[in-house]
Amino acid sequence: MDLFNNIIFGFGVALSPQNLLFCFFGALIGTLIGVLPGIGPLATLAMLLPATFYLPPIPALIMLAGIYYGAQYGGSTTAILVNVPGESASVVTCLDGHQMARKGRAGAALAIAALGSLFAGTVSTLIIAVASPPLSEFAIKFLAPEYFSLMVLGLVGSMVLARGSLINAVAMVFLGLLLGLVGTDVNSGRERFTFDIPVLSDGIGFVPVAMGLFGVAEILINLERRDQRYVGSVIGSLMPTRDEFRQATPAVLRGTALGSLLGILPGGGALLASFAAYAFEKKIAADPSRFGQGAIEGVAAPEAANNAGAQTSFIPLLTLGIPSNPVMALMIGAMMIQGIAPGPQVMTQQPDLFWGIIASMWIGNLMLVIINLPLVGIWVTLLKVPYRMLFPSILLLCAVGSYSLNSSATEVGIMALFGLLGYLFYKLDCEPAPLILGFILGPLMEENLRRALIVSHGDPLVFVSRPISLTLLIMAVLLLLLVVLPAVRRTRAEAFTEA
Amino acid sequence: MHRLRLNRDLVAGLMFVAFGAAGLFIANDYPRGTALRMGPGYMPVLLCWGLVMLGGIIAIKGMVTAGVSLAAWHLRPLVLVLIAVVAFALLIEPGGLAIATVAIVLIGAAGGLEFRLGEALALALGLAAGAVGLFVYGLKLSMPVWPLS
Repeated sequence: MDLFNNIIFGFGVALSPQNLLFCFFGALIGTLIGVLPGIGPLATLAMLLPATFYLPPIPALIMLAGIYYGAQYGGSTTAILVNVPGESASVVTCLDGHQMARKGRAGAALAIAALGSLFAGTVSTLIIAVASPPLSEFAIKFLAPEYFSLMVLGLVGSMVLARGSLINAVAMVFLGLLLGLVGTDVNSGRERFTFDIPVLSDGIGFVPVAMGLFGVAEILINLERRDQRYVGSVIGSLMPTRDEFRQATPAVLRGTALGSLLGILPGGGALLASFAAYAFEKKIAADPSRFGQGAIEGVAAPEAANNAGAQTSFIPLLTLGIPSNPVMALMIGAMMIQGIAPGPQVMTQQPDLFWGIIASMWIGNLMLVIINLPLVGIWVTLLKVPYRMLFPSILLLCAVGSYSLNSSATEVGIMALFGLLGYLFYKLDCEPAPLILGFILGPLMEENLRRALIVSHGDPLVFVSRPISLTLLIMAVLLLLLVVLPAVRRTRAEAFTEA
Repeated sequence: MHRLRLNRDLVAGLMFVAFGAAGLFIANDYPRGTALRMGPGYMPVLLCWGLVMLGGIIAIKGMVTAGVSLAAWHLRPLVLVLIAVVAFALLIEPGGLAIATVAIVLIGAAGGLEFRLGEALALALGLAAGAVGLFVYGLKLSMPVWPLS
């Protein structure tokens, strides 16, 4: 059986001493930044991107992937012990996880979160292995019109899944697309919106934009509140009771299924998965009032979901070469640094890379359980560092990350500008995620639109006359219609206000 | 008619209109081309008009509904943290990583609500040593360490 052989082959690659070592580094760094509030996988990946230049491609990508799913493990530790999300995808884990900690069940909550994540990681690794080959075989037939329609679907997805008002999200996508066009136009060689600033002729760098909007802006927002962390040091027994196991198991299963599905969706990923899983558990619970009082399902489902979502969000990246969220956009950046063009051809041309990464995910998940459970004491010590000392360090890391990629001080200035914009967007209730997706896809969309229209001699009907392209567009329209329906709209609002 | 109040939607809408209008102004002399042969101005102009329209709708929504009033801005962290980043940008090349680190950490820390000078100084010096060790000697990123090096 092909699948079996491929997985064995992948493990052969992932188990080489060098790849194991970098998988471990990734998992360890991921846990560290997951535990520390205020620094997420995005800023970390951006910072380590220049350093991966000196590594061979496989260990580099294995390590970066490990950071993303590793952060999902670490984030739950902080959420449960301190009631502060260590990572944005564990916001909902605070609700019941911290209540469990107050009742002396912190150990059980940590164990359920880690074991649930391991289960979710195992299942989603399998899903990636099973789903990717047919998908990339299918995607290899895509031409410019299909790629354009696929990106439209992706952008609609990110609008629908954004928090807050839909029309704000649409406007943010437009603004993102426009920002993405800054730089030299590939066809005419004309510079657009560059204001004669030399670095801008290659476009606005993704790293300073992402670090400004997410890293710096988050610091600005956090500094409006006093640091009110209380670090509980009593963890208690790590062993969940039989009752807790019985309640958590079905929740983990549901969280895994929901998370795997939402991870694949454009605009999805770990964050959305955890919110949706929590809302779903509360909805189907026999006694919803237990939620917020320390219900173990409220820890198990979102933690399984965020890990599953973090991993399945690699599917669009590995099979279509299209990022579904900002972290995946950075992974594309990492692949390009290594001279790999992301797309459906990666699997056939570089099977060792493809299957090695997939196998390493499972190994990484196993390592993470060990890093997180027996060693939890070390992470607790780290949590006692106050925010007033933490945030200047994070700020420094962001600045160094922005500078080092191109050795450009201007890019640090651009990061400051986007930090200000990020703060403004926050105050105006405009979520930055759709903007960043538009920003990444802007130049790609323009290029594919242009190519599609040249092939069709300027006939815009080319997008609806090709069946795959038409199907993708219909899916986009349906998605949009769905949100406008009052019932769905209400659920969407509810899902996002749960936390 | 009730008095027009600045609310969140109105300001957000005006912001999008401003981005779109500025874009249209700058892109005015980029050749548009046709759908078959799209010029460098084709997509930007399309997107800018989209922004102006969407911003307009959001602003009108803000005017006709009561809307959510604007949240207060905390100026001290905003100004000091941004100055800290800009200071790093200005200092990294002439002054090197060590000096730029001390600047960003000290100025940034001053933006916090619980600023303690002694602690911030110690943190700045510690991070400067750590940053040079980690980034320059550990990860081997290429950046100046000391002035004029």
